[in-house]
Amino acid sequence: MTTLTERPRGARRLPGPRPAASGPARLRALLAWHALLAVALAGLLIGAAVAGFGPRGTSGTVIGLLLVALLAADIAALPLLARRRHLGRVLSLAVSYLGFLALALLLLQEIGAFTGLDALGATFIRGVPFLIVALLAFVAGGIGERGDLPGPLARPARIVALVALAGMLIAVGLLPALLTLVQRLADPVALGLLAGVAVFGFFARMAWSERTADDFATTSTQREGLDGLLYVSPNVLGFLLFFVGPLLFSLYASLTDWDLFSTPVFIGLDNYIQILSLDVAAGGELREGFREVLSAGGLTVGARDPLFWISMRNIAVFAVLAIPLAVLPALLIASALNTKVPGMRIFRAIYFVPTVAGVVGVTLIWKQLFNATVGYVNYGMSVVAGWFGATAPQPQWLSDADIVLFSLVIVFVWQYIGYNTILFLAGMQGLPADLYEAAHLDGASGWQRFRYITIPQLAPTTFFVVATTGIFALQLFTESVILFSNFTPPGSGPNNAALTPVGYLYQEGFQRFSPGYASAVAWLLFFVIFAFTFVQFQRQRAAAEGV
Amino acid sequence: MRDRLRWVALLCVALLALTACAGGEQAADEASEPAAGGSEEGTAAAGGEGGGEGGEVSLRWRTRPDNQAEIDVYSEVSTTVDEALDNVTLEYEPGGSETSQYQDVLRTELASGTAPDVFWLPGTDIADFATRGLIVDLREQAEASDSYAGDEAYYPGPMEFLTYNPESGESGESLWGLPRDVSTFALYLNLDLIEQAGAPDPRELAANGEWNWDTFRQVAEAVNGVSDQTRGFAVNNWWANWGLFVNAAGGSLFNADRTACALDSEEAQEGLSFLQGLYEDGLVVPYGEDGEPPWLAGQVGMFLNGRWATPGARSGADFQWDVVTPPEGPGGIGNWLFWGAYVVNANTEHPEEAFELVTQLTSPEVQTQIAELGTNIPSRVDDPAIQEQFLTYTPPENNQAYLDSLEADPVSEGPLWEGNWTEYDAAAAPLIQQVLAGEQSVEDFAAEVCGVLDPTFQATR
Repeated sequence: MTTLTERPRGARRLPGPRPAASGPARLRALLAWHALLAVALAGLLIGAAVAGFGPRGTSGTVIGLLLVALLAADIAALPLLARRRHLGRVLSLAVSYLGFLALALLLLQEIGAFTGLDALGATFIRGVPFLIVALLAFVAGGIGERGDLPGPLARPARIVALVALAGMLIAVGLLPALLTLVQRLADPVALGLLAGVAVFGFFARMAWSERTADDFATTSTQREGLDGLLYVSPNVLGFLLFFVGPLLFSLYASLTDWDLFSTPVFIGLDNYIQILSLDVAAGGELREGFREVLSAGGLTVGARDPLFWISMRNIAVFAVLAIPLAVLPALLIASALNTKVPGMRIFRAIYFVPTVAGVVGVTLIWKQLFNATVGYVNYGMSVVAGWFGATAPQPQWLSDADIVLFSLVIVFVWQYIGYNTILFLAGMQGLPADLYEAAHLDGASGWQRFRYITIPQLAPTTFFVVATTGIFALQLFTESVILFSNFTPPGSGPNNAALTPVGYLYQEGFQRFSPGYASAVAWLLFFVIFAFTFVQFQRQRAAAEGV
Repeated sequence: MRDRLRWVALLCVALLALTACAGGEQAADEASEPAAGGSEEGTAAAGGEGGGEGGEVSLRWRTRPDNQAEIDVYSEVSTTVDEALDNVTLEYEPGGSETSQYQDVLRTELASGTAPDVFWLPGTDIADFATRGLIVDLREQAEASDSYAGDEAYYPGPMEFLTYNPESGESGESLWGLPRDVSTFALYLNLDLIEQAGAPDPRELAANGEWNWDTFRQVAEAVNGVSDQTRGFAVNNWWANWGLFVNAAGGSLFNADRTACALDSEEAQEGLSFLQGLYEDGLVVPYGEDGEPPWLAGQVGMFLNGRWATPGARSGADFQWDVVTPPEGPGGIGNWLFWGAYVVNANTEHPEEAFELVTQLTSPEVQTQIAELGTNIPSRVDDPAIQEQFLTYTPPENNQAYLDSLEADPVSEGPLWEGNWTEYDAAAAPLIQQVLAGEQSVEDFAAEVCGVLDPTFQATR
């Protein structure tokens, strides 16, 4: 219900003169708040710069930049608020809301809430019996319920459930926790943060309120837009904080010489130049600082960082072998499984098992199977060869530099073929049956139906399967590290024959104290994966347009 | 009704969140613990208040145990030491095993300021951590401590490195930690297989002074002849294994002051040639394959490994087994002295208490307690009773083999104070692999190797 002075939500403001100002007190309060905040932020920044307090290094720079951005938004909001512009309200809300969130997180950190979650995880088990009692009581309370009429046990069950819930809270440590919380909040820093949270929260609420929206003559579209932004803000902020932030930081780190412990030193593109520098010598010697990566037909290719190129060569060979072997058989298996034979669901589940099995555990088992002297793979080969009176070769699956990539391909294919099969199967089950019926009536054979209906119709699924398998292949890490854990460095395999780009960046980042260099490797790998996916995407689009 | 239920559920969740905010009883305890934090520059101490109620100091410490039995013993040790130290509360946290990248995790934790106050480090990593300012020079604390037994109470090999001052280049000045234990290589013998092969008992050969590369090879050949499945010898594929043969030939991985590569020396080539010959003749489990499974499966006569392999042999070997010192080469046994040390996080707020913890963890009582596991050898030399006690922990019967190696001037493993051990190791491994796989001659290897390894003695990339 609306009054004459109010405009119903969703109604657009009629053109004409602005309505008389309402709520000048709110406006004055917001203006005063932002003016005060601007002074405080400016004072804080100037004080930090002059007196040198606050965090230093990269984190100090990042915090400083964020505060400058907040100050800029705050100052920009002032004139817009005074003129009652919607943008001013948006800026006001953004500043107060973000300040509220930042201070709330700081407060939680200050009072140890995050480590408290771990502690709660440890003590929660003590409350589980009470929780079970509460749930049982809840279920018992519903017995005999008819519509709105409660059952005969409803009241006692409710009491039992409430008592059990209270018992659970006490068992997990609510009472001492409350005591601790009060003690921690008595700390001046915590109290200051709490006050800050309250103030920022108050003004955020004020800027968001319906009345303020009316004061600013906000249209329904603007209201909905702002509400929508607020609703998605937890996700967006999480995305910015935990994905975009680290991504940008790694880009910055890739331009630095950094050992993880000291202040990063900006060196521009030196890391990239070091990684990508190549030298080709026809018969002669490579330039100083270059080591051989490839030699063929009298031509020697050298690199400043041969390990990077060796890892790229390895992963290229691996991908060429692994992607088709993980995709094509999956397509055939999916076709075989796409029937209504009894028990087919069991087979589908079996094929999916490797996907849900833990990579580390599965790879450890493969490592035992591949052992050249006591592994079951070579033993099995001997037994089978023995049936035919022959002697089987005994490959050194994990120690022969010429074979180790095949061992990795076997493990990878075994692991992903089931996943791809399920994807193809899902795609096939979505294909229109009338196409097959028509083809059948036209006399098309099974192969023709598969070749001219299934494969073209599955193109979007195939694109997805090839792209994801390719990305997984190019990012190969865990399998090589586990299979070749006994090599130096772990995962590199004999003569670096199993070294992958991700394995190499791990070595650089976590074993050689060079996270800046490792970040540069990571970005180069990103461009390779991006190029691979882009080509797939273009092919898919071209195929779709062709159809 | 449903609304009321929703409110009750919401209230419960809110109260649980509130409980988490303070962390319940456990968090209240933890509030008094100082996580050894650190700033980004890794210099200033950060973290909690440092002291709890009544001035109680909490310290976290970590080792790299190999199995649950070791975790149990270290947990027990933690309780014992906790009781022995006044006003100190200990929290023991087992680090990952060797294959789960113990040091990598530690580096990350040090960078983020969450590493424990005291932790164990392999000897080869000490220099890297010390020169980056990640661990404390404890000399000052040692001089002020009543419980410190002195540098000479421990094996001199590790102490030479642990007391090295990188600024002056002299040993006996700094103190980067105290050795937890030591170990040497021994040959783990499958006595049943050796007897079946009709080969002489290596223990007797050693007792008669006849245990050398020739007799070693004879035993390996005899065992190899038992069946197509058996091999005379097995080694794992890391630096100390091939390094033993380099040492035994009178060579070395480094020059005398460990500032340059020496793998191109004639002695080093002789050692590698001998080992390469064993591989060429098929007497050894292929290089790169884990040697332990075939040895435990009873298919290998002699398996080179450290004392740490003893628990696995005790539980896994289904045959008669014992140990013997590695055979003498032209330059002697050339055994390694492996060691690791307890060190103190540079960001700890309690270096004095942390040092006291280190002294307690390396006390004779604790060392004896840990040695009982069979994993390693106590690092103390000031009390003969410790060594005598060690000899009683059987099997293997011939524990004396380890002590003999320790007395035969073993080469102490790393670290490289002038260089980067990780880089050296990573660069050497593929070159050695090529030699032992027969893909490169020892002569070609010698011509190339120091050109590749010498740059790793420079600090910059």
